[in-house]
Amino acid sequence: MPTEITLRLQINGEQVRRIIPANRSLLDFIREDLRLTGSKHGCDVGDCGACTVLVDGAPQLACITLAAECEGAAIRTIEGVTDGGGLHPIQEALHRHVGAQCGYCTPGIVMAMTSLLEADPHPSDSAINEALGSNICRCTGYTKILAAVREVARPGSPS
Amino acid sequence: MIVFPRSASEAAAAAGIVRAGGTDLQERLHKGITKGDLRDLRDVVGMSGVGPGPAGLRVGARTTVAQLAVDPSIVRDHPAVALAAGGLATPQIRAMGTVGGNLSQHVRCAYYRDPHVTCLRRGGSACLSRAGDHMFASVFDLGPCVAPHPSTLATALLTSGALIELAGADALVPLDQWLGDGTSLTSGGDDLIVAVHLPSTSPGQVGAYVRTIARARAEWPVVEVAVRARVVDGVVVEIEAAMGGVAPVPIPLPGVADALRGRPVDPAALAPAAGLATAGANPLPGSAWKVGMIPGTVLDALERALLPGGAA
Ligand SMILES: Cc1cc2nc3c(=O)[nH]c(=O)nc-3n(C[C@H](O)[C@H](O)[C@H](O)COP(=O)(O)OP(=O)(O)OC[C@H]3O[C@@H](n4cnc5c(N)ncnc54)[C@H](O)[C@@H]3O)c2cc1C
Ligand code: SF4
Ligand code: FES
Ligand code: FES
Repeated sequence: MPTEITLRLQINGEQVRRIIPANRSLLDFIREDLRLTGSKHGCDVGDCGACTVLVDGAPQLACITLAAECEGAAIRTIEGVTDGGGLHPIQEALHRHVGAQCGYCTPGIVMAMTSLLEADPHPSDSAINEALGSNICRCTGYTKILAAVREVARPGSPS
Repeated sequence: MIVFPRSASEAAAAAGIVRAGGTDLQERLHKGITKGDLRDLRDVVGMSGVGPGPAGLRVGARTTVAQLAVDPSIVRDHPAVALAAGGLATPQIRAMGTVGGNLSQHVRCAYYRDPHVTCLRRGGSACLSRAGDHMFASVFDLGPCVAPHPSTLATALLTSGALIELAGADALVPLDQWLGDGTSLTSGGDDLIVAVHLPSTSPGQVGAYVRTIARARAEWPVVEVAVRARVVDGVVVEIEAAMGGVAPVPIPLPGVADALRGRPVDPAALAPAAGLATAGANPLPGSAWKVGMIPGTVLDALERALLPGGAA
């Protein structure tokens, strides 16, 4: 049995404290211990980005992040992407453009794009491509996702 | 158990598996193919960042791949290293992955990472890839294991003559010596890497890093090539090249470099030089197709490094 540790961190604005195995991944901590199942297990090896959450504002692959390393960090998951539980502009745009098909990649993409747009509300196409570069979508071919992100990044301009 | 040592010497003395960015290790822990206590380098002071060192530049082992890609002194003095760092894996992996971890990461062979089988490298009796699926395996069959060396940084750092600073060792170890001849079945070294040193270079360095890859991002290269050069008055005065993804250890390409060094840059000479990179290839039946990918990848890298405006 791996040794257990006490982990304290903030999740979607709420302080939590749990005793967990020292080698637990952040994704398992979020999904199994906190029961926040919006962040997805895609590949579990860092390939696909379905597990992307924000750690102190920066997108991070939760499947290959050690929960123990996040002591004291502020984590945001798809469940906390907006304060009141409504949809984030990027979620609304994805919905309008049908940028989600099976939807498995969507939480990770929303988190990566949220971080991008919070750092720079009007990112260039190359900044959008770079920020999407860790997220694999097997359904959409990205066209509709890019249209949605561009619409939020540059309202009014053709996407 | 997990410990967070605060200095390199404390880290070297501590027990447990070294953890840096965790981008390779966490997957292996999760699958149960790697087990044990952890010593996490997160809080170690003085192990991050690029600064002056006895040989030229000193890159702390915990420097992230993303930091290396944009560091102004690396971009100026070792452009191939910066390009390789900026071109590997995905933005999020580059933000988490570290220089020490990149060099020491374990092979990506699917059999190695499958908890249900035990191949030679994990203590079993046979290389399962050799007899089974080896489509992406080595084409220079140097040892019992045919998994290509996974480190892009090692390939690029070879062209800069990098040296490894190990905890507790007095002398720096040349990277090629640290990498060995490809026959070892242990991944990484036994000792903690504290830093990587890059010898000073003359002004006017040019470099290129090119990977042949099945999709634009988030994929391992089939072949990857780094070239470092310096051209003065149209003459190639310095050139080194190295290739990864094709052997259990990244391999220098002295034949390619020798064919071009000391001569005026001649676009027509680049393809014949690139063709020399396949010399000695002894692929497996399933990996033979990769040999055909080598000359074009090397040529692309040579063109980007040596021709004005990059690839023709
Ligand atoms: C989708 C994807 C694509 C990728 N593509 C590429 C690619 O094209 N090229 C490439 O090079 N890599 C690629 N990678 C791998 C990635 O670059 C490495 O996993 C990463 O660089 C490892 O660094 P880390 O700090 O996360 O290592 P960790 O996971 O923390 O450690 C890896 C290993 O190194 C050991 N270690 C770590 N630091 C030290 C040290 N200072 N001294 C001694 N041992 C140490 C650990 O014990 C462990 O065994 C890819 C990964 C993914 C998920
Ligand atoms: S190539 Fe190496 S890692 Fe893969 S099965 Fe053979 S011995 Fe194991
Ligand atoms: S589940 Fe984390 S990257 Fe795929
Ligand atoms: S919508 Fe299915 S993977 Fe992206």
